[in-house]
Amino acid sequence: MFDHLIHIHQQFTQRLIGIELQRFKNVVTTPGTLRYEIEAYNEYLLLTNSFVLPIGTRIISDTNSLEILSSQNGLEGLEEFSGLVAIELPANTQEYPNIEFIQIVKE
Amino acid sequence: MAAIRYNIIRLRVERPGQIVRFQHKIPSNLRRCTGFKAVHVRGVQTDLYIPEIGWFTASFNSLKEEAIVTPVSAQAFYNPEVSHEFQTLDVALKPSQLVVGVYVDTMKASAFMPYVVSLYLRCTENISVRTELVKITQSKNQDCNCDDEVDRDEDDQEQDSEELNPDQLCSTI
Repeated sequence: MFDHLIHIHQQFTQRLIGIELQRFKNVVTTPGTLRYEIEAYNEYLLLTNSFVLPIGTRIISDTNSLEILSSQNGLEGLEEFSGLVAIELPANTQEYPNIEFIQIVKE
Repeated sequence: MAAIRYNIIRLRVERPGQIVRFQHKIPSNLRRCTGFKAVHVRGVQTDLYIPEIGWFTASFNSLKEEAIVTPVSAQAFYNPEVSHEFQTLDVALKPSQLVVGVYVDTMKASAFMPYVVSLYLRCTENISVRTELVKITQSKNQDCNCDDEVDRDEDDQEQDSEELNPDQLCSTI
C-alpha cells in the first residue's frame, strides 16, 4: 500500500503547488439526505476512502468528477476535487458512510 | 509572429450521467492556448435549444493550471448553425505537457441518446522557432554534395526527376 501523504507531497511538488495546510476532513452522511455540498475553493480535497462509498455514488466538482462503479470501489488511488464539491449517494442506498478527505490548502 | 493551430478533443457519451475522462498531449511546438470552444457534435436530437447537456473541465500543463469549466449546449435540429466564437483563454504551454479533464453528462435520462462532444483548443505556434528549424535543415542539406553541375546540364531527364520529387534533396547518381 502506498503512502498517501508521500504521494500528495510528491505530486504537489511536481505541480509546483505549495501546501499551506493539510488536514483531514470528514463528511458524515445520514439517512434521508442523499446530496451533500462542500466548498473547496482554492483548495483541494483528496478522497481517501472510496471503498466505503456505495456503488453509484457520484462526486462532482469544478475540476474532477467521479462515479463509483463496481470496478472502481477497490482502487487505492486518490481522487482530487476542488471548487464546489457535490456528493450524491444513490437513491436506493442502505449505506451511509463517513467520507474522509485529506484537505490541502494551497499557498 | 505566431501561427494558429487547433487541437480537438473528441469524446463519446454512451449513457446518462456518464463521466468521461480524457488526457491529451498538446504538441510541443505550441506555445500558448488563446481560446477554446466546447460543442455538441452529433447525437442529441432536439426540437428546442438545450442550454446544457453536460460540461467540460480541463486543466493544462499536467495539472498545474486549471483553466476551463464550461457547459455544452445542444442546438435545435432545425437550427444547426452554431456560434464559431471561441472563448478567451490565456495559458502559456510547457512543452509536451498534458491537458487533463472530465466531461460530465447532465442530460435527463428519459431524453438520452449517445452523442459526441468536442473541445476545440485554439493555440499558437511560435513561427520563429519553426523558421529556425527550417534554416537548420537547409544548412544541413547544403552540406550534401549537390554541386555536380556538369551532370545536371548534361542530363535533363535527371533534373526533371528531381523536380518531380521535391523530397529528393541530393542526387545520388
